[in-house]
Amino acid sequence: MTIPENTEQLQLKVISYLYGDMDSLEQRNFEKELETNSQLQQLLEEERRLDSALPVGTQPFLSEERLQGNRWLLHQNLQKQSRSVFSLKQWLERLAERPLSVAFQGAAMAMTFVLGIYVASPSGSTRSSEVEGMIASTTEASFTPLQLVNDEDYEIYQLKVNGYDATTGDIDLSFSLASETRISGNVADQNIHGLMAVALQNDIDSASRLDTIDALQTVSSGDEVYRALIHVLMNDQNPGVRYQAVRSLVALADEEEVRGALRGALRDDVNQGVRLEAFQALVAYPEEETLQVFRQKMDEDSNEYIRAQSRQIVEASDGIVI
Amino acid sequence: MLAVAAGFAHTPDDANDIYQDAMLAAFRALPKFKLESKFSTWLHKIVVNTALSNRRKLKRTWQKMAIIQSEYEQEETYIESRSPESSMLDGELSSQINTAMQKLSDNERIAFVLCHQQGFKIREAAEVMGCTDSSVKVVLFRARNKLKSQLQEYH
Repeated sequence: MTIPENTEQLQLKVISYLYGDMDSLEQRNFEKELETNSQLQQLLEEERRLDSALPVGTQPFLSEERLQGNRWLLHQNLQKQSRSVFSLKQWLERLAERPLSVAFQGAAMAMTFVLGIYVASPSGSTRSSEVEGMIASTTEASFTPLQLVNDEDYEIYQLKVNGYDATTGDIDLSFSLASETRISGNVADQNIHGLMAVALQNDIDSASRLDTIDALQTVSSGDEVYRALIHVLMNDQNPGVRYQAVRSLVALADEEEVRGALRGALRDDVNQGVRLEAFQALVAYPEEETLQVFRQKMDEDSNEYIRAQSRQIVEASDGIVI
Repeated sequence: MLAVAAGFAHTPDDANDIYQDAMLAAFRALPKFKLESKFSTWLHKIVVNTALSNRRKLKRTWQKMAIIQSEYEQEETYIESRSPESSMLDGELSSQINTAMQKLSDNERIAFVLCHQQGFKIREAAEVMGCTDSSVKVVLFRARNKLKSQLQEYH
């Protein structure tokens, strides 16, 4: 290989060498030349000094908390994006594409009209109690969400192409269905708080998760409620939601399952606020499993208060006089 | 991708914004993605373009706010502290790297982030930057020279 005389060109060669932009033959020639060319040696040495202070691959350090926060925010933003905006034009176009559906809806409207006349007429009065019974039974069952939703009201979101064969056209899709349904009632109603507990474990936005946890705070009974809160505490990506969940769980710390979750949060949660709440709740229950976590935390926790208090509790339980 | 955005940004908050904007832009542009290029190259191109437009958008504000802001702004951490003894030195070096990175031009910074921080090959960086391999080497060389003079007490 001919080493160019021009220093700048030499430096570019050094750059190519450092960033792996040479094929094996060029690299061998470069290294051979390096043995005899002092100018090239000096240039490479200078560049390597920079690499010793700032090695290749040095990039901004990203904490797990920051990564989690960004992932969560991106998830929310993408979800907002993927929800289609209602368009009257598109809706009419879709309707026009489904003549059967239009005919069915027309027939349903006509049936309702005829039923109305029949119920209102005096001869139909004997049967009105049957109809009222039918209406009442429908109302009773109305908090079962799926019964309130028509096929046409579903909205498709989170569509994913799991596999696509371009040659045959075969495709494998997955998607979620959503529909807006409104239910009014009292949070003490088991059906209502049961539904909210299920929703907490599903994919609802963080503001709604916070509101749901707030409402559920007043409902201290029910396994499904505290299991939902535990699920949120252990899995939610939003530290604010986890914090709200841990605060709600504090009141339920007499349940062993809840204490297990609190120990998990104290041991593993990256958020100090969550760990502090879990710690405060566990102080009242100095059982062996909890003391084991305190032993670990008295040396490792980044929060000074948790470290100091854990040490104090552990030393007191071990009978060490401070 | 967040690390790439962090390489281009002034502050961690800017990096987070660039990352979010870029990922949403990629999501919107996904139907236009052609299999002719590598997906990662295409995605990096979007991050780079988002970072550049973000910088242009903020340039005026930055010029006005730079003096006030510099006192309060957070910086990216380049060196994770290995021990309490080395934390001050690591913090200083990290700060110097941030200062040095800010003195690079847009193209120098892109070339350096892609090739040095992210381990891109010269030709891959050229594809992202839409220029020739030689141009990438030239800007990379300039970037390294600026960084050398800025960080000379550390090497």
